[in-house]
Amino acid sequence: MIGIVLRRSPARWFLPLGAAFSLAVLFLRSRYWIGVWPQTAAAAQIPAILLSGLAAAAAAWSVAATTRFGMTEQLRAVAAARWRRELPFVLVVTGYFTGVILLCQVSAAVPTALTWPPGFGLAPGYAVMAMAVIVLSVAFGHLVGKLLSGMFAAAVAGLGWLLIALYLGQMLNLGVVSGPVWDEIDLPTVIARLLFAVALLALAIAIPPQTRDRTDRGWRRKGTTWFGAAALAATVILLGVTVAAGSPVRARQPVASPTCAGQTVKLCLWPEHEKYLPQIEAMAARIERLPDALAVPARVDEYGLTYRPSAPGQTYIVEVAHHSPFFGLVEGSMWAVAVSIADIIGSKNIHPCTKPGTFKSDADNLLAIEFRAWIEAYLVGGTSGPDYHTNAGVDSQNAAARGVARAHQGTAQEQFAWALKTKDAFNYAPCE
Amino acid sequence: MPRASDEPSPLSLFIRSRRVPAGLILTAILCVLIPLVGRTLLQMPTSGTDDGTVVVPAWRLVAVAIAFAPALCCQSPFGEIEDACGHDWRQLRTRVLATYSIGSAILLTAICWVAFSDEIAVAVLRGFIGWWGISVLSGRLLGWRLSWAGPLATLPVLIFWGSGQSGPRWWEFTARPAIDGPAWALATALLAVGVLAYTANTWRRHQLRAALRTVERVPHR
Repeated sequence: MIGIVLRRSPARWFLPLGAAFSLAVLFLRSRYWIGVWPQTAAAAQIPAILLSGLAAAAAAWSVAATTRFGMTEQLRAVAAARWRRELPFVLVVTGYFTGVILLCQVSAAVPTALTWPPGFGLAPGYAVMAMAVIVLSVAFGHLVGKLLSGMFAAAVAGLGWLLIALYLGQMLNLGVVSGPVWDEIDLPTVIARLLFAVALLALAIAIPPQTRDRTDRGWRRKGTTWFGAAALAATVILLGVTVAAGSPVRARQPVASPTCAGQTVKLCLWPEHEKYLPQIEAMAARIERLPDALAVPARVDEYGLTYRPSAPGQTYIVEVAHHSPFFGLVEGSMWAVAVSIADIIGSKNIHPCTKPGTFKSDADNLLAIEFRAWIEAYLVGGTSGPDYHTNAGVDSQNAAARGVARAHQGTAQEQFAWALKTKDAFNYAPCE
Repeated sequence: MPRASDEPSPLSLFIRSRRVPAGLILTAILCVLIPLVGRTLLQMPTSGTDDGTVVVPAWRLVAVAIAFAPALCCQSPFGEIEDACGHDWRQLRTRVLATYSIGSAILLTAICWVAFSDEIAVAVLRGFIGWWGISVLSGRLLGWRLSWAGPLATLPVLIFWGSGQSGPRWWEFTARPAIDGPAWALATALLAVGVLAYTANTWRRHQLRAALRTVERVPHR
């Protein structure tokens, strides 16, 4: 039966299209995720969120197949419980979509596996998360398909799922858009979620359809009854477990032995970010070359490595006693690292007015912006401009652009001389 | 032709023969949903922004469903037999589709104008026009019952690749500002494709093929 449904299911047309779409989502974007296991698995999980609407629609569509082809009478005559007649349709839709998602996970894993960095254990959580999204959407689609059982069922299931999933997704972390190394997916929580999705799917199968197919009687109905009761019990229990477990995205514990670069100035990374070590080493060397008159931190850690000062994703700088300051390595951007470190160096050298109600002049503040922008560009090296956008005022943006340009002109000694002069000019400027 | 007074009109027969009433109920529910949940901001994954997310207001998703409902109602219970229908029946089908579509567009725009702003109302109207074209094309290619498949497959593409660092890309016809040349041009082109797809029924396609064959047979001088 499964073989027949597999060959006849309209979802078979989806397989090549879905695979092409998923691989496009994976590769036709920034490829910073290659070489970092959690980012790889999280990137391969994104197509699941995007395709889940179609999965819900396909599930609702396949429920209606029996009535659409006028096979209700024939299927009713089958000497098997109703849930056994529906199961192949559900398994095939789930199988096609899960197949695409697994293909996506494997394709994403190949380039990362070539270097095999540490942290493979962080990947399975994202893969299970993707599967849970697909199975949940199929369960939702099947349920809607059964309750509406009309021409609009598939469309309503598809869009309805997208709306509900995206709305709930924000609160429950149904899916994620990236897998930063400072977070981890709690495997038992996502497995419980997947099991809940399977139980909901079973319940969707057990619910009687809103058609004339309700006339099953006698021993055949008994089969459906115990199946339905088991599915209902499992759904309720697993719903409780899933709700109690909460979001599967957890902050990781600080690691005992981080990967550090530099001698006098240490920049420390999560071990999973070892692919960035050469760039971080180069940055540490540039900090060490700065003149002694510029104060620099002794150690800067990657976000979350030794302590977690703020909510995930927030990387503003706060000084905490007994802890090194931190930088954020967001989506592989060295500019993100440089912005954080330039902020730290800036706050060590550029001193704002301490007396309440007094400020430096606008011209002096623009000089400070130019100074920080110079440090950023100097730390990144090369000749390109920042890879981020700001909505700062025109004057501030111009000052920052001057600072970046300065890092690409003249010798290092000339730049250092300018930096020291600028630092003194700002610090000795009067507060008004 | 005179009709007996108790005989239902062709329009009433037509509407009863397909899911127009169910479609109207769906449209009505969606129209109520728009002001209720339309402002909800949904975070979706994208390839174009720094943090990998784009915020999509819910009205953009609900508007898609309002746009493909009319095309779904073209689904005929007569199947392929309907291809052989006469001029009057075809005209009736076109009139119902046009009235349903234009009515939905006006209703949707008016609701968004009252509930949100004129900017959003104009952008929603443009989105409706584009989605309508895609749904009719999808209906013609895959069968009217699958009119939703085209929009539902296009939606993830627009969401994932449609945003850049400086806002929606020129071809993101659902999210560009109200007065935006390229977005309007694309939406109008999609509408034209939809109208063309609707016009290209089996009969006309057959006639076109026959005409092309005749042209091929004319010897070159």
